[in-house]
Amino acid sequence: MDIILVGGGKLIYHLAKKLISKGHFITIINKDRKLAEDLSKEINGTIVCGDATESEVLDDAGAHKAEVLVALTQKDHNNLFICKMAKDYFAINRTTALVNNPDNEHLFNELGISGIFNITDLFSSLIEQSISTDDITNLTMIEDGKLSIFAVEVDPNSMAAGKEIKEIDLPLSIVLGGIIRNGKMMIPRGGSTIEAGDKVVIISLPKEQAEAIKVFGGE
Amino acid sequence: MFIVIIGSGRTGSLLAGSLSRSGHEVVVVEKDPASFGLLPVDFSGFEIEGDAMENEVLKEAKIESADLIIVTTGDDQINYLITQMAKINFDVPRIMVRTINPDVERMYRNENRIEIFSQISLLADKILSKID
Repeated sequence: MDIILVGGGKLIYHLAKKLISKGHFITIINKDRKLAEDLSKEINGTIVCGDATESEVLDDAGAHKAEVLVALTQKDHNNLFICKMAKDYFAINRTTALVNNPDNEHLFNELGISGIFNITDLFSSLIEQSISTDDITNLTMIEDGKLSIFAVEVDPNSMAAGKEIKEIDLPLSIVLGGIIRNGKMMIPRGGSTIEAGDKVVIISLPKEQAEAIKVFGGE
Repeated sequence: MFIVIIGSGRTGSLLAGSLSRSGHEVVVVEKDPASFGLLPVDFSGFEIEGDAMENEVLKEAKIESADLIIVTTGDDQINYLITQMAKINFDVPRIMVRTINPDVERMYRNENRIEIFSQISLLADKILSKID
């Protein structure tokens, strides 16, 4: 499938890598020249440097033949606008946006923009949970429990402790969404090291939850 | 009429001044308090300081009872979001929005209740009408 991703940061990087490994064709649009150049070195896809709220830029990125667009910028008004433009101008029916303000989730859904991932809600519940003493915290379920997001405290004896993420043998369908260390949130990359006592945020299918807990929880 | 104006820049202030002078009840919402300085001295409406992309701020501006909202910020993306909030979240009966990039006009196609004012197209039309 031809997929357009808009935005930057670790989230885009990891998402692009995963999608490419599954055989999708990825185009990333980023406004920042330096970021776009960095991405072009690391991602085996097309990188377009430009403002995705402009239809010419979407056009350059091949929006006419794309089937999916994912907008992951930090600004809800840009994500909404880009998704709507993709729908109305380029007939991309499947659009997904990051919703930074939880209040906007309903609005996005009303406008037919789907698969919304509410990062502010997630992070605030994470920080709340990071104070709790439980080793495993269920954060939320998406689509009536088809996808679960949870946090595991890394056990010193687990096979993940002290290792870089890329060294850990994880099924592709398990995604690390964040690492909480001493109450601070970090976005994991392949080279990030997992330390005992970290809380790792995991996004996976419910049936693979147990496997992920085995890797990080040390059982 | 009870009118909510989003943005107290040059456009919003000019409209707010004229509308309040002609007897309408006007509320202006603006993020940057310094911009309220652009309102004329005889402006008799209300000023709400806050980000209009927050539902709470719009509620504070009494958007729920507005007959008309005029969205005038200088950012097409922000204007689009606020316009949709007014329509979907608050069911405002009449919405007017300023558009900067003429390419954006198509975003509002098939939108009843929303009237667009494309500054560049209006200017160009005006000039062209003088030439013929």
